[in-house]
Amino acid sequence: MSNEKDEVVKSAPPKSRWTDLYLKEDWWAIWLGLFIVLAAYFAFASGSSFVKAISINPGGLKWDNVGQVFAHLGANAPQYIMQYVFWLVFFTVSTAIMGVKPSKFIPSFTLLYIFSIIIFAIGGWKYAQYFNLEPPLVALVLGLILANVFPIPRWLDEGFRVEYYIKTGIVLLGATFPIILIVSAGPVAITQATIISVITCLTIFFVGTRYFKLDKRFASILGMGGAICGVSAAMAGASAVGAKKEHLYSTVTLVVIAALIMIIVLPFASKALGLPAGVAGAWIGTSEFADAAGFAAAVSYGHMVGNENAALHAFTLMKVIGRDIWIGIWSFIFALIACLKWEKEECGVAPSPMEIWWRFPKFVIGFFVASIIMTIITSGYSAAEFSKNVQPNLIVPISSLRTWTFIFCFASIGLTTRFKELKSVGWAATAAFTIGVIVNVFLGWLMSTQVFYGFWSVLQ
Amino acid sequence: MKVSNNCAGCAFFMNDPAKFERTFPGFTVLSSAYGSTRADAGLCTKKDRIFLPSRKACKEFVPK
Repeated sequence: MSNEKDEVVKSAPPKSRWTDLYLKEDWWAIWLGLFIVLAAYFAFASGSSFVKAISINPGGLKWDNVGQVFAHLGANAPQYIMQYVFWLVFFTVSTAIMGVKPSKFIPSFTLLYIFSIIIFAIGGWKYAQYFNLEPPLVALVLGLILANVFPIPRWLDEGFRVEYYIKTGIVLLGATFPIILIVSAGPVAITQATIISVITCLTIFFVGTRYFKLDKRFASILGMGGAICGVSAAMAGASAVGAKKEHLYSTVTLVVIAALIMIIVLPFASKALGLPAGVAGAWIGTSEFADAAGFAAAVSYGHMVGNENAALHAFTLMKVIGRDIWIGIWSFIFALIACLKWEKEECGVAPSPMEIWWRFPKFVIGFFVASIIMTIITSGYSAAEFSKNVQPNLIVPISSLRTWTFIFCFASIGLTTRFKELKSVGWAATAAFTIGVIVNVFLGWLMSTQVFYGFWSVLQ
Repeated sequence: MKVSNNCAGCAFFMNDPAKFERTFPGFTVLSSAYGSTRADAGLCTKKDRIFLPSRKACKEFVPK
């Protein structure tokens, strides 16, 4: 091969993107989510109670004696077994196709399922809300204790697939998200998210390079990780600019630590400030880096104030619709800068605008499709029919299955976090990233509680 | 127009999602190598840098 500067280079064509339809978890999240939505609808339309039966969970028991939990589990054992088998088959087959060994996934997922039942049960305790035992926080804390105190073998991580579970949950969330709400609220969410993402990313980049003398590639992935979508955005940015392995590893550590802290801090800070659920959801949506961590914080606050829907809706609008779409765009921008300015000779071919699409978080498409499907289905019912029949027999089962995927995700966050495995990070990167986080959280608070308060406070 | 080798065909280029996740402990806490946002990005085990497979090969290129 030759590396002459004047050589005209034509990049080899990438492998077919059609394989993404079965090799990427975003698409599997869509397939599973839409399968559940359609199965729930056909069961509802035909009068079958099968989907309703397997959507059972012990989260609403309000028990004050552990015996009640065991009695509930015993009386409904067939339903729980069917549900477990359903999740197990779908997740095992799909992950096996993607390349995960079933011999590792099956025992891991089985443990996760049992752990999730325990979390649901704790959340269903009569005094859980009084003691702030919100399921996401319980899942996180218990998971962290298990992963860091007991020697959980690392191969078990094969079943603790945080991202796959949250993506599936987001697609299911679309089914309970009126499309009209997305259309009406989307512009505000995108405006707020765009302003904050741009300012935060540029803050980290310029502070990092100018004052802390960080490598520009490192600063760019720190900026993307802190402004857009945590580790996923950092990963996308890293390959766009050709970042060093140690830089991505450091960014992973900073994002994980900061995100875990904010899962705990943001709900309690929102409560101390007395924020309406929608306002807190928007603030969390602009402050948390990763979807999984943000949903944990938003669901926790929703439970605390008894308005989970408003917190979830605001968070989703802000994070999923407002911020996640930036991943591909920022990657493309940084790839262009890296190629045309930082390393002209190594680059070879200019980045393709198609990168924006390749890196687009495809599960968002499933979210929109689920929302459109369910909006069309439910539009034919009167308000009275909806409350009496559609809500309990169609919407509630889908919401319950969505809650399961969320709990799988929250539990997995704790179970995969081993502090001793995280990299020690230098003070300069930590300082640049921390400044960015402070700017991000402050701007999120300012825009959610001052600029757009009237909008977010009435969101349901 | 000459077609050059690129990272995709290099023995040092590793973009298997399972191996990629193992390379970065903590990566799966809030992300996944099986997601769309990674595209086909991988690690150059020679240079310890992260690239897209379409990147023009360097002088260290070794065919797979």
